[in-house]
Amino acid sequence: MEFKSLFSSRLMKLNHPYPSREKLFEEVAQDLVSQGYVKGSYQDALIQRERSFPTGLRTNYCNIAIPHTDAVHVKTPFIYLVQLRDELEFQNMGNASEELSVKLIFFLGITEPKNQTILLSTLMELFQTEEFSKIIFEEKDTKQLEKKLNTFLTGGN
Amino acid sequence: MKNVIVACGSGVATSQTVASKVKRILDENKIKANVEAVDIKSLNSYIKSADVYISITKGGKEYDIPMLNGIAFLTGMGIQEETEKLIQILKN
Repeated sequence: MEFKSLFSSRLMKLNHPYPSREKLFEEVAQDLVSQGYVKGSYQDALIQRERSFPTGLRTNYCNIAIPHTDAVHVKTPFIYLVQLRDELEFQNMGNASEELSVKLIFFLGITEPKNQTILLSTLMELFQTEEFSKIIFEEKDTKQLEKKLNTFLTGGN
Repeated sequence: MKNVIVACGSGVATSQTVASKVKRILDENKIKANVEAVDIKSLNSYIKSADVYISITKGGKEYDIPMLNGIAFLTGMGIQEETEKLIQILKN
């Protein structure tokens, strides 16, 4: 997969209000279906997987969530970024009895688990820097964010 | 050679990512070991031959091999401590 095009403004919702996690999953899944990234089965599979294996994570600067599901439901690899206007609760991946208030969600679309670890590992490495966390937390314009993030990923080139 | 297994819900994203991170750390420390990412359903069949289990979710079954916190390798929070434990286990 092309590194510099990991983030696309078409796969972002910034400062967006969602009344609940269910509504968020539903709207993102529908958007991904209509853009051809996932199959119709994705939505239910995603919701089911989050229920059994939650994906909330604490990182150095903020809490995030990385909802994803089995590769069979995904047609083309993607990262779909949602910056919530109002925080939603996600259970902690490492400890499901703990709820984390999350503002940034990265829906990961993975088609070849062994070959696409770069997707998540890059994301997690970036979240260890304050600068990256800040950009992604504050930027409200999708085109601008696409540019900034992809610049970050390619090391400023 | 010693075996390290990493398990997460479906073996799609997290365990694979943690496994590749762990491989890199072991390479950097010149330690040879097999690192395998598995899904939690097949964990029982892998655990018998494993020397250390890197777990993503808490509260699962207890095994009689050393267990490490996989989230540390994912987010980098507490990674130093887990890395030291891992190296200790694999060197013995």
